[in-house]
Amino acid sequence: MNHDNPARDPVFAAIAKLRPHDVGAHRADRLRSRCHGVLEQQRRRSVERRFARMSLRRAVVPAIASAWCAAYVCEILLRAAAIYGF
Amino acid sequence: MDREDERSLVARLRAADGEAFDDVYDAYRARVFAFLLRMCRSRPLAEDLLNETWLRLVRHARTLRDDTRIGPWLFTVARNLYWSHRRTSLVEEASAPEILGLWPSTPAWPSPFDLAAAGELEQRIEVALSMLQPQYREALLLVVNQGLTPSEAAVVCGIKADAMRQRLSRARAALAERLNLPDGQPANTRYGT
Repeated sequence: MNHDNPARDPVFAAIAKLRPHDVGAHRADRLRSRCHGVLEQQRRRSVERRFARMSLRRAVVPAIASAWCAAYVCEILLRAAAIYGF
Repeated sequence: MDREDERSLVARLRAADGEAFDDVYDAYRARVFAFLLRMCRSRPLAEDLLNETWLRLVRHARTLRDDTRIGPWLFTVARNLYWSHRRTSLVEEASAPEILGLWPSTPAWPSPFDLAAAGELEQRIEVALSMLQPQYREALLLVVNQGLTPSEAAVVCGIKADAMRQRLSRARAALAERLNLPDGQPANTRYGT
C-alpha cells in the first residue's frame, strides 16, 4: 500500500491538486486595511508606552539621586558639627 | 520560506511592521481560506472565520515567540475558530430546536456552481471530502492539501504525531470508501485520471 507516502498515493495526489480558493479582491483588500489599522494602533500604543516609561525614568532617577545627595550632605554636616562641638 | 526568513518575518511582525504583515497575508490568505472553506462547507462562514484569524494574528503579533512557525500558527487559529464555532452552533441547535427552520440554512459547499467548474475526479473528491468526519477532513486538508508535515499538523490539531499519522491513514481509508475504492487501489484505475 502506498498511502503512507502522500507523494505517491493517487488519492492524496488528487487532494493535493484540488482547486485553490480565495476570497474576492474587495473583501481581501478590506481585511488587509483593517489589519493594517490594528497594527498601526498597536505601533502607536507601543510608542506611547515607551515614552511613558522614559518619562517615568527621567523623573524618578534624578529625584532618588537628589534625595541621596541631600542625605549625604546632611550626614557630613552633622558629623562636622559633632567634631567641632556645636 | 526558510527558517531564517520566517524568523525575521516574525520579528518584523512583532514590531507591527505592515510590510511583514502583507508578506504573510499574501502567502497564506488563500491557503487558510481554502482550508476553512472545506472545513466549514459554507463560504460566508469561512469568510467570517478568515477575518477573525487574521485579526487575531495582528492583535497577538507582539506576543509571538521568536521561533513561531507562521503557517501552523495560522492554521491552528483557523482550526480552533472552526471547532469553537461548531461547538457553539451544536449547543445552539440543541438548546433552541424551535428556532430551527425559521432561518435559511447556510448554503452547502461545494455548491452546484463549484462542482460545475471542477473536473469529474475533483468533483468526487470534493463531495467525498465534504462528507468525511471533520477530524479526518482536517487531517487530509492540512497534510495533503496544504502541505504541512504530519508533525506540524499534529501540533495544529493538538494531538501527537503518531496519532496524526493514524488519523491520516483512517481518513484515507474513509475517503477511499466514499469514492467506492478498495483501500489502497489507485484512484486512476477507476476514474481514468
